[in-house]
Amino acid sequence: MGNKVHIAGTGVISAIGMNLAQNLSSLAAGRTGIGAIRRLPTVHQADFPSGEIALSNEELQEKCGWHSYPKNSISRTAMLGFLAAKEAVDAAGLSLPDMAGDRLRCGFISATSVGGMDLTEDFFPAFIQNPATGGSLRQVRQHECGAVTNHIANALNPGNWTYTTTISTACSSAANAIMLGARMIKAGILDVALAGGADALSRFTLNGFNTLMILDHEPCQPFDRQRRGLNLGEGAGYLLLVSDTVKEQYGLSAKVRVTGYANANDAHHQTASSPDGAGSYLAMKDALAISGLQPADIQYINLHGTGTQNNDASESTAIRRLFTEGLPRLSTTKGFTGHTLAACGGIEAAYSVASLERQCLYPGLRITQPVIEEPGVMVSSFEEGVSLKNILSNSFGFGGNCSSLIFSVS
Amino acid sequence: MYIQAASCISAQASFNKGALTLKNISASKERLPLVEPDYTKLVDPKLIRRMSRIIRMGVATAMAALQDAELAMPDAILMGTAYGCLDDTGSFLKKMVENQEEMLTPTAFIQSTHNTVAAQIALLLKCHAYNNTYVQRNLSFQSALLDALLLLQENPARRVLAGAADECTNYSEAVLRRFGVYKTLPPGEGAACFVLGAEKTAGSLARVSAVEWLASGRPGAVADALQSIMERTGERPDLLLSASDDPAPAGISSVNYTRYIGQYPTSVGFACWLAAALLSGVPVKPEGFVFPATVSRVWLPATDENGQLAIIRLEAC
Repeated sequence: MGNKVHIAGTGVISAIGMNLAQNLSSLAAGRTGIGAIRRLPTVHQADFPSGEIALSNEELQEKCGWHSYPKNSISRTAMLGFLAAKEAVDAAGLSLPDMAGDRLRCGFISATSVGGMDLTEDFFPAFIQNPATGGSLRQVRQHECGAVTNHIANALNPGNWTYTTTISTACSSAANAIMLGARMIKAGILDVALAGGADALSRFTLNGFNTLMILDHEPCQPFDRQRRGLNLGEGAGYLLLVSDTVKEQYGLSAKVRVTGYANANDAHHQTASSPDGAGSYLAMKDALAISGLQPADIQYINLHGTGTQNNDASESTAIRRLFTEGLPRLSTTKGFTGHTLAACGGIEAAYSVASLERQCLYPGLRITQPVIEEPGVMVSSFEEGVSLKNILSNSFGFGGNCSSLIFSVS
Repeated sequence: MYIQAASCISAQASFNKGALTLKNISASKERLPLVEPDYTKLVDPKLIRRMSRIIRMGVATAMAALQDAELAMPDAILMGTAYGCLDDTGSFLKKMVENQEEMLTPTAFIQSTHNTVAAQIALLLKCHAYNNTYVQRNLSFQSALLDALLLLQENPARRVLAGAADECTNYSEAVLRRFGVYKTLPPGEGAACFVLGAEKTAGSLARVSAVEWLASGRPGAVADALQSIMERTGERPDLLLSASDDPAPAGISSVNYTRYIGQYPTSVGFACWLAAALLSGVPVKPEGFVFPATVSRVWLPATDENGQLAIIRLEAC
């Protein structure tokens, strides 16, 4: 019971667009954001295609309006997060400071896996040469994930947040942020929750994933039998969640709600998923229980679908175990954006909400031999005029952290 | 919400049970060594060897708290850490720089993610339950506690494991010294874990009556916030445990507890353990400070650079 959780606005930035509208038109047109790395200084630029956002840090900083900060003092994660979070608020036509003035309790729940690592790794070469004086301290002011969150929080709504926090559960982080926001509204602790996640590409993650040998040297083919691994991406995605009262008070036209959520742990391995998809099965099953829906009520799943052998096998097994009476339509948008780590749950939530609002399905890319062989299950091209009521979105991460969200038309 | 069991590793002998004297280490300039338990009594020695200090501390305090609570399988695992796995992060970064991004091995990267401690606890217990990691600077543990309250509100039958852990490494110490963090008190590190439930068990140590989050609009507004909470609730704490020397409302006993354990962002985990110990009647004597004769309410205030306030309120049960 408790409050309903309405989605009043969404915001996205990724390799396929600087805002939601651009993202959706890329998805509809089948236009991928995966390509050679151009901006991130790494010896692997030509080795691993990625979903990199074309804008430089200087251009992004300009776009954020953060002129007064010196160069290399703001993490790219903070800039991406701010742009998407602000879009979500603006899309709702709301002003956070005004809402705080109306004594509404607003929370900012942000997720990231690397925080300001993009600057820390620039700091490190000089620092390890001479720890006492090497490297400029402004490059590590935002090393902490929470420092990135606080920077965004202060830029959006200075001094007015009832609650500010950061979640870091690897690739399920943003889904957990949205889940927490929904729970806090449902419990009546918050009236408004801006929830989602952001991650910038960094050499740290690129090299880390490379040591695990799960990066694809070509554009990835998630949920294809020929899949070779994942492409990394960067970006941010946020939802502005509001209670019934706020929706009424401000006359909002929110058409989609968060109705289900669950977080479970695979408890199998630090980085690999279990063969039977124990964690992902539980996350999907428990999310259905929270929403009061049956598997047959779900028309579409936005898959975690990274393109690694392990994830896609485990996820498809879990889906088959749960959806025994027929599979919903399935696709993964990571072939467009790359795997944006802590941000993916937020980005894919925004896509899912758009699908419900517009009654359309966004496709996956580059599937020639689908893992799921039944015809008519995988979404391989943009489909309009589809009847959609409930969408499930999966986000699974290192540490066995598995989370599922359910979005429903009001 | 009741603290049904608590475990803490710090620069003091907090892991042991019973009477404790807290040595005042505020004159020290060096990083404070931890008083560590024999980890092999709590975790398989083969696994211990592969764990960094933060994982060891986090896992050991988790196992000890679960043992005390006689709880085999928690219904949720929550961790708060500001910096996460600094040691593994630092060693992967160093190798990445030195080897110019070639010939790297995965171990340090795998163990560098912020959710490693909570994940390792889940792995050891084979626990499929809700698992979350909060990384909100010095308010990370307060976030975990708020989630625990919410989980128990949603289902009072749950029993939740919630903790805080941060480690100090040569790299982090060097950087934070340059920021001037350790000018007054030395670097520290530590971990604390708690079993929390809606029911008062025989072994319950204290009651968490609230974890209040407030917007103050400005840094350093702690005393005003405490005053307004006292007016609203009609309650008055006997003792404030704070990681800063912020002034307390008039007439309330207050101590900066980091003079006993050194500075680290989630040190409030230690403060929560200390409050639970005091409220359950454990004789703890801090050097250079006298706790009030009766302690039945302890509040733990904290704030950050944005003026975000989080106040944990505990009372005897």
